[in-house]
Amino acid sequence: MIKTPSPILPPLLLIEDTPSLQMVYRAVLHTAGHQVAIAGTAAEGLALFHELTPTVVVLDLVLPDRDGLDLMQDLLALRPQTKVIVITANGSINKAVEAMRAGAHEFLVKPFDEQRFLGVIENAGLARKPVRREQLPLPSVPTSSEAFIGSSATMSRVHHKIHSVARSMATVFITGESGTGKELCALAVHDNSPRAAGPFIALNCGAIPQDLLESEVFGHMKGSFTGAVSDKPGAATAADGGTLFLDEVCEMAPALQTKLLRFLQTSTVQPVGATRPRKVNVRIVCATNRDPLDAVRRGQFREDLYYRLYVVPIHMPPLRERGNDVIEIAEAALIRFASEEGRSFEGLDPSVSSLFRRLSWPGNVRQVLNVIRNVVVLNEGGLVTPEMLPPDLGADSTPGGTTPASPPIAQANLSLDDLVGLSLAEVEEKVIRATIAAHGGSIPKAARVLDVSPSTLYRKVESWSQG
Amino acid sequence: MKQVPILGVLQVETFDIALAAGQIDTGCYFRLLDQAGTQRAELVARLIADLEKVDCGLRQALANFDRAALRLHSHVLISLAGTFGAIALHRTAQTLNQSAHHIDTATNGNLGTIGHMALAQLGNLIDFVAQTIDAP
Repeated sequence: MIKTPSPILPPLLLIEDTPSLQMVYRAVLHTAGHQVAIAGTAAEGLALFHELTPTVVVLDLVLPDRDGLDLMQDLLALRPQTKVIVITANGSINKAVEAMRAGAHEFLVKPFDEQRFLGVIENAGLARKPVRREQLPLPSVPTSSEAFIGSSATMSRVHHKIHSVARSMATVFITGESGTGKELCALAVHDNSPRAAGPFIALNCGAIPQDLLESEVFGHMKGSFTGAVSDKPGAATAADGGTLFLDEVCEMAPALQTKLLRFLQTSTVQPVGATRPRKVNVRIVCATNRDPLDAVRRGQFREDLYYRLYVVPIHMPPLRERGNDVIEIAEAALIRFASEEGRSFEGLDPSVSSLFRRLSWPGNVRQVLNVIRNVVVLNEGGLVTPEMLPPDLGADSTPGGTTPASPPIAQANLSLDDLVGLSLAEVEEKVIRATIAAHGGSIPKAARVLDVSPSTLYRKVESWSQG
Repeated sequence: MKQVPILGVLQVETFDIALAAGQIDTGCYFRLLDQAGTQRAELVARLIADLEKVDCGLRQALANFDRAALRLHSHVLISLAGTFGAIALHRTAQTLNQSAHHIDTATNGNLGTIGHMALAQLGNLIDFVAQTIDAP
């Protein structure tokens, strides 16, 4: 279906010098309802920019008459509020990093798939309203859209399913291994739904102590239990008019499953200590990295609740089943982290790309992000070579694989008695390892808790692994 | 089979060219043609012109070991091959582009090998695209 271009929105300006690619991008954008003006050189692009005053510019960094980066800086000097999306092939990744630092809104690495292309365009402000989003504490998830990067057929099917289910009110059940982007999938369902302007409330049922989970989901009244010093609305109430995302839903205790089932049946919540329930209008999306049917068979998950939740399943595939997506994700992460750390990398050496394609990535996208972050922090720049990678990466030794060190994962529960008698350096190592373990192996999350930079923790862990 | 001049000496390619049919995601390719609608024939014609321009540019660049030109033309080839579903050529073009970024002159031999592999795959792709001008 071709959408009619909106007469209200200004045209998008595309500056791309290869004629056949101009035609392809224009066809994709027209189909999605965008007006497009096309320039084949930097000079033409600048002239059209003056004439049309576009709010979004898609700019190839390699142009025949001028460096695309220079042109971008001129465009932004003329109109700083312009959203410039730079596009480049992977050989010019360092230019993409420079462009991001110089003010580009987003980057795309060629060839990019249609969904991502249109998603980036729309996020640049052509057709979106601001959304209110709140999140309760969660274990670390990919903090960008890297999990959704990928032009594999597998991910195309996921994108298609998201777009199909988003418009309905049906409950969505997302399955997938840890680190595959289940929360991002939930967010994509919300953002593509009629509820996109409403709140998106995420709650991890596995990260919150079970005796507090009911209060977190349904809220509590002041004085209803020790520590309840004020009224608290709860996630279900906070999501009224929007979407409630329940991550690790199979970790929910049986008693709370009963209350969740009643909530799904009646659309009412009754905070702990409240005398009357209240009606809420919430769409439920839930997720688990376990097999939900297996949890039912083991008696850990109510069968009636399972059938109430398992209406529209979406499975986030593991990275090893996504073909070349791992390379696209790694390259995008390299650009982003290099930009954050002020480093200049050229891309992945072919031997690294070949290795990445062979690995099973038990930690999925999160593991890839941690590996690339490790590389960027510990190296100055250039091409990413095998020598820069964590030493145990090829062995795929650690489930989740989020720390480079080979010693066993530290226990999450550490008491003071365990620390007395140790040197300060040993105390530091134990506390850091325990904090990392308590946050699912995520170094960035542990760093936030410990109030240090992730690079500090990576260096320490690296030094311990080297003995 | 195309003969590729290498440093002035004509040789038949000794490396694996692989058939275009097995190296192109035809689903992706024809989806783009369908999306072009009434401009399909124009898209095919422009694609052939773009690919032949890259072919010419790469040959000159390889003959002179002009790394800047190799980077430029392989950059375009990465985009074209990737967008139109020429999977193997896309990877070869990426390898060529990365090799052309290396300053180490000892890789000139590698550049030649990779470059001529790219030309062979590019030739197959041009032949394939030309056959689709009148295809439904």
